[in-house]
Amino acid sequence: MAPIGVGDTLPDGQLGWFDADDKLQQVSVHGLAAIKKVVLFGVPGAFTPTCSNQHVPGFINQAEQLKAKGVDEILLVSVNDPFVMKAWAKTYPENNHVKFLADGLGTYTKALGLELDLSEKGLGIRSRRFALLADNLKVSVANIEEGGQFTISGAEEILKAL
Amino acid sequence: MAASALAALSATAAAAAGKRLLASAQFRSISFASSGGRRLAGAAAGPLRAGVLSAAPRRAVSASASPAVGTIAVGDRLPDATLSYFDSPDGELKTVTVRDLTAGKKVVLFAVPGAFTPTCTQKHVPGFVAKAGELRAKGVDTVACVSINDAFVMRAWKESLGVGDELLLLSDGNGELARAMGVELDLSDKPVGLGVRSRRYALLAEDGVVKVLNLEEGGAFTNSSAEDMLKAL
Repeated sequence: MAPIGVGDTLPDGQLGWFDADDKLQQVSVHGLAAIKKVVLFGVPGAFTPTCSNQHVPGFINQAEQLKAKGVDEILLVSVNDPFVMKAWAKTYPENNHVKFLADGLGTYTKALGLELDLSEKGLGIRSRRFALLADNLKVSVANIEEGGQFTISGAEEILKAL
Repeated sequence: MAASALAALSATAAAAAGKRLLASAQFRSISFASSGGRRLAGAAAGPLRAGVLSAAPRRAVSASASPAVGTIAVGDRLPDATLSYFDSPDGELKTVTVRDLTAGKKVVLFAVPGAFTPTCTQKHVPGFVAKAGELRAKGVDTVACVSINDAFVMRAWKESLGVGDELLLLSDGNGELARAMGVELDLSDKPVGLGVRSRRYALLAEDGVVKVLNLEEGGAFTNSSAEDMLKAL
């Protein structure tokens, strides 16, 4: 699958999520994103350094600014199971808006065309680092890194585009 | 609560598969119906194990209705595989082979289906942390936990559990060891998104040869605790 790009429609998919009541849910991307302005950003791995120390905090810290500019949902997706995503989310007690969603089998990442093969590092197939802005499912910004580097996929770039 | 939601998910699939779901109310455990009948290792483990130094003839383990070839058994030499870990919060990623981990030593190796999952987190690992001293007193050189999770996740889990040097938490990131031992637990068809994991087990290996093996069906938690290992030593 070719990587998702500007003008494409965000594909639908099921992601795992422990909600505010600690219940395991399967949420549909379209259910979360239809008729809304959403930021969807992806990382190679929960608890990995760049993801944990830079990429995620950026979106958590800028969440209010993003919401002030009309963003309804800030969705984080990673190829990790929902237990790991929940534990990772817990390490950010200051987080109020970012939803940590689990693409446990990498199905959604494949649908986006953003797979990153990290099998050599014992990580299996993961997601390239990226940040998308979608308006009623139509992708208007697609900042996709080559692999796991962190150059254009941060919250700042999305804010600039809004 | 997450526990019951998962149990419900597992129960549905288990019922459909006609397998008995071991849900112990006593332990509030989440157990996943084993794909025991469907040995992923069946075809793959043959060539793998043929290449592995095996002192003992491969033995069939009787379990449910599966052909049951390729599952580790008492008397087998542990297959070799490379596991990874971080030896400190800021440390470098390290690897260790099963051979190096077990050569010339008495090792207790236990496996969990998933880091940060309820039974593994609340019962299985803490039990081994608590009993590590007693296991050492009985001559065990190393106690190690292995899971099909990456080393970053294992490190974070180790830190969240407050585990120190008493227990190694090792990543079988690509499932190499689980596959070679024939203990995969295929949860890919469950919506929870765990993929292929390891069945829960606890074993004692002396110089790499399995002397005691407590292998669970799926993620059940009935005989693979630290207490059970201590009794067997």
